Amino acid sequence: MSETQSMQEALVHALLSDDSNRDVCFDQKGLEAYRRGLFANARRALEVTFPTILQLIGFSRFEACTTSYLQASPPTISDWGLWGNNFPEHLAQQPALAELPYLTDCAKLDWYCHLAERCADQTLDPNSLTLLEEDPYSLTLVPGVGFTTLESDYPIVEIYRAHHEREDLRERQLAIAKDKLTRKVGETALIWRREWKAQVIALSPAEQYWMTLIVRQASLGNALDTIQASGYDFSFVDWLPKAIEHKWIMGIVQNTPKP
Amino acid sequence: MNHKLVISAALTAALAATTVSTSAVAADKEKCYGVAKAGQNDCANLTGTHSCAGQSTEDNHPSEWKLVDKGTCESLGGFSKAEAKAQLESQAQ
Amino acid sequence: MADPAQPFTGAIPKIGVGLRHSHYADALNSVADIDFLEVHAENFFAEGGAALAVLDEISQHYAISIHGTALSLGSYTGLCSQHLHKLQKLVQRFSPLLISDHACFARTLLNNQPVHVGDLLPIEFNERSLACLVRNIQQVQEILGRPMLIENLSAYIQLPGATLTETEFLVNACQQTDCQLLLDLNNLVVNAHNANIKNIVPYVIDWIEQIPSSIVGEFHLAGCTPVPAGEIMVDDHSQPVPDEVWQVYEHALRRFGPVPTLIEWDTHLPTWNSLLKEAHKARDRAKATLTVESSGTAETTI
Repeated sequence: MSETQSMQEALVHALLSDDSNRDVCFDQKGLEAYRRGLFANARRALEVTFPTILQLIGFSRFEACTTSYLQASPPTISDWGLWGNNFPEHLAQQPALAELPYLTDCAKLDWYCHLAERCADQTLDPNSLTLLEEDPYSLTLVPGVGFTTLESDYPIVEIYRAHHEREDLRERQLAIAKDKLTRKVGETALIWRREWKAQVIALSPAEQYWMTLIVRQASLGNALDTIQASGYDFSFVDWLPKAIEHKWIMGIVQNTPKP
Repeated sequence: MNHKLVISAALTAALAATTVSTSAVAADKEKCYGVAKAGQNDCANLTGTHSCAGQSTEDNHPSEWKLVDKGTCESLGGFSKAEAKAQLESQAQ
Repeated sequence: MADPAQPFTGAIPKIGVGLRHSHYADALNSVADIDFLEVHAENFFAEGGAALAVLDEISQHYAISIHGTALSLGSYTGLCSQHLHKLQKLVQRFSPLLISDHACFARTLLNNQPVHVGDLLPIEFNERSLACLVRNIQQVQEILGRPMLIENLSAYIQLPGATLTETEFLVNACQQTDCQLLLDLNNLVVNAHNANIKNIVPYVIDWIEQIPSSIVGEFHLAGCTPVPAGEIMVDDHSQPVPDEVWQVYEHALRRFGPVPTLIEWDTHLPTWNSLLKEAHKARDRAKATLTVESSGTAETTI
């Protein structure tokens, strides 16, 4: 290995490792300056990506988690905005947070919202709606930007809203979340982007069933067959205008028939 | 299975909805700078002192909320250690 | 005086400021009297979303400079192809006035896994790491199809194994790749402080004298939190430009001419208007410095 390579490895290793293992060939004061900057960068990046978690556990515990996460899973690519993929699981392993088992799912929700806000822009293709006159087994609904679902044993949508609504509504929202948490009510979240901002709502079991079929890109014909057979009370006629209004779907595509 | 009737009714309803939603687009577009998140990549060296604690977050949510160090989880109540453990175990199954 | 002022008389440099998140609305609500805005490349690496939409709008009213914080040009392991691809897309979309990044590294392998620490870490000033920096700059310029600028660092540790001075190293890198130097004057002042130099301004001016005037393509000006002598000064871009940096700037203008100049401010951000005022100070300084030279020249010709 080249000396330049080993020097670069040694420096990065010294920055990430704990005091006892620190390489002694670098000036300790200088190294500390880099370490403080590095850990502050990590915390700041994750504050933007996981705003709900920061508010839930407060600054000190959040900072401790970002520091240990940086040491356990440092970024592999250059954009701090794409770091944090397994931060939810990291939170689950922290003994100090053991009494907050809902944190992991709340963090996953933050992560999906963050990703939805970075997705490629897409506009609704209204003309594609006329394809609905074609064979439904050849049609697929195009999911909205960042469209995904997240199932949880905890009231993650209420908790999310308690931290993202207008300040004067938060107290009340926090009480609703607390009540559902005490009653062990789980929620499935739908996450998508409308214009620029990530949106989060709770889904009924019927909606969850249907939205999952959309996420999986089932053909419209098959999706309607499946939801009918499931016995859920679901109306496509009611759903489609809402889906367009809220940008749950961006249009319809026709798959070329197999020869 | 034939879904023709359902789909054609949905199409009629959807076309009405489209005109509404496209007219709303222009108004939404103007707000991108209010929604954009704080940048996460910087070339300034942060001093890492608590003087800039929560700085980018305040920057990201101007005047929307104040950082509480103990965290809102205190007001959520929730779980004792034993309950949380039982909950996690039931999920694992 | 190292260079005659003659070639620069009358011309005023383009003056810009760093555009940060909390100033997006201000910059768009009314078009400011500023020649360009600099943004950090990686903050616009998403596939879509609000930040890119903001930059689209900004680019309709202002010239843009794209300043990278994470290319890791000095990495021995080479550049990240994903990063290059995203940078290329950004450059194609916004046709920036300038493209720059740092002569540093952030990316390496640890236990054969890539790690990117998103910081500006120093590289050794020797032939080996020069060759590596040159190779990487050439790769970027080939992909972008245009020259870039590389910035000198503020460094908090000195790496062993140097066989070249910092100025020799940077000048060589620029000359071998036809890239230009983005001369961060505050970084020079920070480094001088951290090296316990007593008379900072003459020391920095001496450093600047080692750089040929043809390779400097931009100046960065900034200020950082003051610390007592003996403590490490951290380049946090949190303050107005201090007097030492202004003095050095005037000298640099006389030596390098009306080079595009940027006020960098990243933490403890002032209001948009105060930031613009700082930029206007730079414009006034440049005007005064270069006009004095020009009237001086005029007098001698009468």
